[in-house]
Amino acid sequence: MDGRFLSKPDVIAASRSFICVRMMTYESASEAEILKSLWRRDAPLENTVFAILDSNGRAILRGGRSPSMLFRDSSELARTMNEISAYYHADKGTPESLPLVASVKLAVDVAACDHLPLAVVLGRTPEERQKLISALAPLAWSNELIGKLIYASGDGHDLKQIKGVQISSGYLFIAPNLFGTEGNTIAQLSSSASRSELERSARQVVQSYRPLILNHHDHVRAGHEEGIEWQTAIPVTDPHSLEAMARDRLRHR
Amino acid sequence: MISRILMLLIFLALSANSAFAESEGIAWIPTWQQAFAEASKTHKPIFLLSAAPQCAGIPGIW
Repeated sequence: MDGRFLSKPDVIAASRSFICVRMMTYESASEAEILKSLWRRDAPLENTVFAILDSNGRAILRGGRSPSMLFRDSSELARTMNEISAYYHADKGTPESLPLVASVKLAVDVAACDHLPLAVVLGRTPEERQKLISALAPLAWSNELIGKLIYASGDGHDLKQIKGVQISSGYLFIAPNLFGTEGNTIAQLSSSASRSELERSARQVVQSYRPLILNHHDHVRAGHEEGIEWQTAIPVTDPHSLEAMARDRLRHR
Repeated sequence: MISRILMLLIFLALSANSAFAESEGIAWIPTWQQAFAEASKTHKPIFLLSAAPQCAGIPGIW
């Protein structure tokens, strides 16, 4: 992802007037169709797609893989975002639902990619999970925690790659490993936890989280050396990515 | 000696990343369905990005 743009304070500030969606390419067939509709006609879907849409999903800006293809620098992107949000009077309203990754497995990977801890809502039934999700959602959008955790929900069957779980319903805070293939439980709260207990735990996890980060090249090399391989939900079609994968396979054969 | 150097490197890597999760970031909604519902409700425009959570088949990196 384009950290030169997306980690800049002016872009982050401007993003608060938008609904920001980051879909995981090749992890959902239905989302791939949406991305293809925003991509170049008849071209294979590439690893990244960037667009700005109105609230009805109509494109305002599209056609690039990343903001760097459309903007000179982060200031220009932030300025454009501010102009768009002013035009749409977009300074009101905050999202209310918990931003849930589609599965715990994918969420562990995303948390590793973002170098953030993961919060898992654990419940035996959909009704129980929904109640716990509703209690956590306002915290996720609070000034103190916004954008600082990844979220997922599931039951005991979804926790095969999570170590140290001692509860069957409640909240788990997870530290993913370097490759996002496993996670360690660093805090857990039962379903009877109060809002203040939940807030305190979330804040402590965020404040104390210290991920190990390798540079891009070393990360990929270490993954190949350890024999790690991620299976995407649908086939990768990015020509550059396919070339790189073929090269890497030959190199590590 | 090597283990000391390794420990030092890990310490430096972790120190450099201290308070990583504390810094401000974009609040991403990870699915289109949820984002579209929130946009419909709030009438805010949509800042859309997609990224593959793996590189050359190695997860844990965009």
